[in-house]
Amino acid sequence: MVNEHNNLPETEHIEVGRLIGTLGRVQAPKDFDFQVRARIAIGKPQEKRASWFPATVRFAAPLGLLLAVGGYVGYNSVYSTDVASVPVVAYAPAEPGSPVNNPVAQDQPVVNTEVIADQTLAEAKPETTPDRILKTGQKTPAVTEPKNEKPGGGSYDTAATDSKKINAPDIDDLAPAPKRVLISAKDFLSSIGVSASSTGTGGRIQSVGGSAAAVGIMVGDVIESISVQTRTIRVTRDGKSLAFSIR
Amino acid sequence: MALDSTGTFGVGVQRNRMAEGKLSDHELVDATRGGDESAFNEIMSRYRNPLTNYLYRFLNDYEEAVDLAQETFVRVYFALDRYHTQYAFSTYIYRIATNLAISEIRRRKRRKLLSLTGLFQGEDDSDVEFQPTDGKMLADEELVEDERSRTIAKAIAALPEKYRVPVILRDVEGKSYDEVAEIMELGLGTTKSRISRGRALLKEKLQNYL
Repeated sequence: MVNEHNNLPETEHIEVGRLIGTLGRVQAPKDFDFQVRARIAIGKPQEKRASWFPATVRFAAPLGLLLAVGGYVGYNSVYSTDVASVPVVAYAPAEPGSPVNNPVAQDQPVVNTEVIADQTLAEAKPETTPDRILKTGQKTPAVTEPKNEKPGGGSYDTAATDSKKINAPDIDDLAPAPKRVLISAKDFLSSIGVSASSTGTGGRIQSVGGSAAAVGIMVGDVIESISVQTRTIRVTRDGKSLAFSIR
Repeated sequence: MALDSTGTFGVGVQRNRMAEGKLSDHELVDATRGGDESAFNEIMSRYRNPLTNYLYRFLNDYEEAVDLAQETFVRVYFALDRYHTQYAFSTYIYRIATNLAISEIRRRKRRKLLSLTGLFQGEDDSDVEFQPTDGKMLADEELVEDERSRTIAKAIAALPEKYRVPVILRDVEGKSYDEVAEIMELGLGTTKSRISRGRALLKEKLQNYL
């Protein structure tokens, strides 16, 4: 006879069963009933649960990690040192005939000299601009130093420590030091009566006064770019890009 | 019918039948529900050894088997009000014991606890079979028997749960296929299939003793 389930002969099944049946039987200890009564006297048994420790770790570890990441991101977003996303710092030499002091130059097209706010330092290529416009972004750690041809070279560390103070490049050491004007974007905006807050893609104007209001800049405009040199500010209003020259 | 000493009809007669071992499991359960603690003692006397043996073969750990057998009786005691007599009491109590044993096995796997029984294992990593001490030396023949028992017990304990339970119930406890199916809450065909499969697995490991 063959077992229908796994094709093992029935006799072999019987042999295995008989072999297992030869195992000796163990007995309960003598105090078995007493122990059961003692347990019953204690009360209804509680379901055995796993220790609280593994469950705590299972949930606490990811939660802690989440809180840490969330806290870091939240802290950085709340306590950001950004005034506005207008990462422009301009150096404008106050030389005779410079566009800053030249009313004729101010009438020149803005496009040639304005600096896009989101551009990086490398993209701006300050060496190629005629008026030596330098800029640094919020996220740009340093402003370019002029190439130092002297042996020993220089260090970018000095620029990295103070990104808003920019040394005038390419200055002839023998010539008298020109009068330098250091203007940051924040200072420039303040000087024309504009305060702005960061929006991520630019600076949204919060209040307008003074010369900025006179030329038509309005609250809610988003600053695209600032040209300190030409005293020109380009904003987006209702999806349109507008340029204003501040007098 | 005369009142007995407790003022309850028929209790005295019931005790006499209990003393003679004539009361069925259901009658003992009813008596326990009625507050007769001696009826529960009778239930324990009927099932403590079979349950301990069953759990021992399942867990291969005597102390754990005794602990779970006691736990089984405690749970039965507190759940008697919910017990329905549509099932045989033996099926009911074996099902509770099986569930406790399976939970224990899974708990062991989860925690991966070091088994203290490993401290008492021999060099061949074989488990020590529980043997009540009788104070006399074992003859050679008994040593051989002991070795065989250990091997069989180890092979059973190594079976997967779904084969171990029916094989022990059928071949160690001598339950019928129907009883095994009821305890495991499986169909008769599935139960037979698992028993056959479990035996086949055992046959591979116990070839030397067949």
